[in-house]
Parts: sequence; C-alpha cells; structure tokens
Amino acid sequence: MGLITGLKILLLSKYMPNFIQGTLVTLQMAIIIMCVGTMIGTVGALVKISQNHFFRALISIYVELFRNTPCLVQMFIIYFGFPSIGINFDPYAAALIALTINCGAYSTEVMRAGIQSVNVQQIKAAHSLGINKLQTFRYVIFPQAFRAIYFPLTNQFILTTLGTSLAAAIAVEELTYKTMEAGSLSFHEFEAFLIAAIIYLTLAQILTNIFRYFGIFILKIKTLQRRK
Amino acid sequence: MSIDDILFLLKGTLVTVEISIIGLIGGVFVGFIMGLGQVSRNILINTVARVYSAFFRSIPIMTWLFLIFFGIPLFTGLTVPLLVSIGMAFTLWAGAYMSEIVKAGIEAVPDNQWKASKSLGMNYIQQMYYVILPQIVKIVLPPATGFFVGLIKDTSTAYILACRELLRAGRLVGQRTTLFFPVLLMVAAIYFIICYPLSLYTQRLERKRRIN
Repeated sequence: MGLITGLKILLLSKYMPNFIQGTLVTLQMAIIIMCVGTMIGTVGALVKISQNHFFRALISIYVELFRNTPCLVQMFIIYFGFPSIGINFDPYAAALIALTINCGAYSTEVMRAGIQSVNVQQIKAAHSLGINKLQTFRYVIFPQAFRAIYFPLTNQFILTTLGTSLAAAIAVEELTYKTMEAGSLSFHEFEAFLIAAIIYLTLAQILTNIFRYFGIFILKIKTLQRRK
Repeated sequence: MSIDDILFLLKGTLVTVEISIIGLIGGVFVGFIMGLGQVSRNILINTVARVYSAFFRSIPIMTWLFLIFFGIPLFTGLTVPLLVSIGMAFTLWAGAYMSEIVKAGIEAVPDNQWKASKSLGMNYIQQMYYVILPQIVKIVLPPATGFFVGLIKDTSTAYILACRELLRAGRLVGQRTTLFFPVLLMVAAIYFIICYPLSLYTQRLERKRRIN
C-alpha cells in the first residue's frame, strides 16, 4: 500500500505548480495577517488598559464577539452576507479581512494579558522614581510585557498560518484549495492532501523554529542589557 | 424566512453540538493517553507521543478532514458514514491539543509530590492515580474548557465535507431564501450563544486558579 501511495504521489508531480502557487498564496496571506493583526492587537491592548471606559467597552465587545464565533462564519458573512447590503468583496479580500480581524482579537487578548502580568509594584516604583507615564511604559512595562507576550503571540501566528486554510471554503486559491483542485483533477485526493499535509507540516515547523530561535536571541539581548 | 428554515438551522446546530461532543470525548481520551505518554520516561513511548502531538498540531484540521475522509475508504475499503470520518478527524486532532494540556498539567505538579509518594512505596501507576491525577484536574480544567470553545468553533470546518452542520445549514437556508445576511448573522448568533457562556466559565476558572 505504501508503495502504491508513493507511485501515485509521483503521478501528482504534474500538479506541482499547483502546490507551489498555493503555498506562496498561503504564505503571503499569513504574513499580511500577522503584520496587520499585531497592529490591531497592539492598539486594542493599549485601549483595553487605558482609562477610557467607552473605548474599553468597545474593544471588549470586539474581542468577545470575534473570539466566540467561528472565523469561517465571519468569512461567510463578509463574502456572502455583505453583497446583499451592497458591499462586494472578492474571495481573497474577504478571507484576509476575516482572518485579520480574528487574529487581531486574539492578539489583543494575548497582549493585554502580557501587559497586565507586569506587577503593579513595578509601576508604583517607577512612579516614585519620578519618571513619566510614557517612560514607565517604555522602560518598565514594555521590556517585561514583551517577554510575557512573545511566545504566546508567535504561537498565535502559527495557528493563524494554519488557519489560512479556512479560506479554501470561499475558493481563495491558497494551498488547501489548490490541493482540492489537484485532487479532483487527478482523482488521487488522498495523495494530494498528503502532499499538502507535508507542506503545512514543514511550514509550521520552520515558523516554530524561526520564532523560537529569534525569541531566544532577542530575549537574551534584553537580559544582557538589564545586567549592565 | 419560515419556521421550517429555523428548524433546519436548529437541526444543523444539533449536528454541530454532536461533532463537538464526539471531538471532546474522543479528544480527552486520546489526549489523556498521549499526555501520559509525553511525560513517560520510556524513550520510545515519549517520542511517539511527542511526534504525534507535533504532527497533528502542525497540520490544519481542514487537511485532516480530507485526509481521513479520503483515507478510510482507500486503506480499508469500507464506506463509513460522513459523521464517523469527521468524528475521527476531530478526535485525533483534539487529542493532540489535549495531550499538550495534560502534559502541562502533570508537569505543573510539584516534584515533591512525586518524591513523597515514592517514599510511601507507591509504584508509578499508584502515584499517577492517587497523587498526580487528582491534582491536575484543577490545573487542566481552564485550558481544556478554553480548548473546547475553540473546538466548537472549528467544527464549522466540517462544512467543507458537505456535512449538514450549522454553517452548511445556514448557507442552504440563505440560498433558499436569498437572505444571506440575516441568516448568517443568526448562525453567528447561535455559535455565540453556545460559546460565550463557556468562555465566561473558562475565565472564571482561570481567575479562581490564580487566586489559589
């Protein structure tokens, strides 16, 4: 059985451009979502720890709404629902918007938790040293919060990268969709998805390792700076 | 939108709940075994459990659904009901995430507990059963309910295999009535009604744990 599967994978080599194209689109989406999602998360977290009740409530509603409904449903509302009120999106844009605001909601929560994990005593101590709010954030809260945020956030990034596969449901030509295409054209669906699985596995492992070593790298530099 | 459409959506909700519960029960079962495997001192069992977890967590559920859906007939020659292959995919996939949660729980138990129970002459199974496991329930519960919320949401991916769960039902009703926007908002509302109480419960459990 293994041999036959292997042979069928060779048959699929004709569809290699499919997989390569799909992977590139997946990567492109993932990078855009990570960047914009982080920005949304930063703003959201800063608002959530601010004193303004109205905006804080607004961000809470945003986070709770998007964290408690499936990303796929959000994507469907944007892609199928919005045209009926006169706003049209192409599949790619709809998928990107849904995945980004979803990632933004999760990032907000991760960053807020990270910032609030900094001990209140630290802020009081900074205050008693007479440094202003901005300096307190820059020199006291940020370095500590960054440590708490980095790994959960990068974990979220990997989940987001894998989550781009949801876009296949509205026919965005990313890896999963391209695999469905190759599978149904060649009648070797299982083997096609085996290839997709290997690609996703490789992507996730590469990303995990990049984030891990990058994290160790920057966090170490921070420790050295602190020791000086 | 007629009453039939609403009933159709509710039927879809039932399927979603069904898949979630299959995924939860199967996931806890697999995750528990694999979690124990991950803290095992036997190198072979340990490696198998770790590879399993990394493997299933690095490939999106969408791909697993397809792999199992096409893989079962290919390798066994059996035609199984759609719900079985979906349930299997969610069980294996949720099991990998659960195993990480269980592992973290076991590792969070202080080393002293192991030493103390060993000095009482307990063997590995007794230590696990009487000392470690009762303690990890409290630690594991908040992340596990949090994961369950994620699982409920992720069952919407079964849409792609034409399973008549909530999202597919919503899509069909939307097509029939051409009222996509309100119907999909209703679908989102149903998901929210199911997930939000669980999220609140998770937050409460986490707060309680932090106080302890």
